[in-house]
Amino acid sequence: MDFADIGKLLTDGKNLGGLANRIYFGLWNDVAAWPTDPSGPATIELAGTQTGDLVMKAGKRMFEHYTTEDAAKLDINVIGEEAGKGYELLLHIFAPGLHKKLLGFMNATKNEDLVFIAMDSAGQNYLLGCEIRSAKFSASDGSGTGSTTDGRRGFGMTFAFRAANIYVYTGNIPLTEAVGSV
Amino acid sequence: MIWTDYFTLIKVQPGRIVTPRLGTLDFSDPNLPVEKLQALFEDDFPYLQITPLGMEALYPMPPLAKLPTKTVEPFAPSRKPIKRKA
Repeated sequence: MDFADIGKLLTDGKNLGGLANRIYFGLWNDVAAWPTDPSGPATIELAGTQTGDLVMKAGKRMFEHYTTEDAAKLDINVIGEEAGKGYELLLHIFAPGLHKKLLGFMNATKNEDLVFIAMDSAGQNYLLGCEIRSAKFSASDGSGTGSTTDGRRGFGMTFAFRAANIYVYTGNIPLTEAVGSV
Repeated sequence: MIWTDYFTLIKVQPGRIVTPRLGTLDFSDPNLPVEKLQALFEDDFPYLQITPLGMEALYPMPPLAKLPTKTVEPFAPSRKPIKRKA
C-alpha cells in the first residue's frame, strides 16, 4: 500500500459532530453475510473502507432504534499492548421514555450478541460487529426517571465492540426481511 | 408507468432500505422516482433487478448502422495463362 498526504478533506467545510438520531441494530446470529474488510488495499483510503452489504438470513432483518438528539455518540478507543493494538468502539445512545417496548428491548438484549450500524452527522456509517465478534451491552448511563421534573427520563445504553481495525461501512441497510438464501 | 415496471426488488421484502447514496427509500411505495432507482441500479445496488421493459425503456439499443455497400468486381486473373511445352 502506498501512503499519501492527508489534507483537511472536509467536503464543503462540513464537519458536524454527533450521530444521527436513528441507530440500526440486529441480532448477530441473524447475519448471513458480512461486508468484506480490505485485504492488501492499494490506498490508505481503501484501508479504511469495508465493501459489500451486511446481509441477514431469510426471514430476519435489521431494526431502527431512535435516540435523543445530541445524546448519542461513538467513542473510538485504542486498546491492547505494544504490538497488539486494536480498537474498542463504544456506542452510546439515549432512548427517551421508559416505555414497555424499550424495557423489553433491554431485557432481551442485555446478554445477547448484537450488531449495530451507527451513522454520524456526515452520513458515514460504522458497523459494530464482525464475523467472529459481536457488539454487547456494556453499561447503562443516566437511565431512570431522573430526579427532577426538568430531568431526563429514559434509558442510556452503551454497546461495546472490539476489533483489530476500524472501517467505514459503505453498504445498504435493509429494514425489511431478507428472502431466499445468500 | 411505475418503478416496478422497470425494476424488481430482490433478496428482501418490499419496505425501507437505508442507502448510503440516497438515504432511506421505501420500496413498498409505488411512486418512487424511476430516476433515483436507475441511479441506484447503476451504482450496483444489490436489491434491484431490471425488467425487460426497464431495459428497453432506460437502456435502448441504438439501431444498427447500415454498412456501406461495395460492389465487388468479378474475379479476373491478370496473369497470362502459362503455355506448357509439348
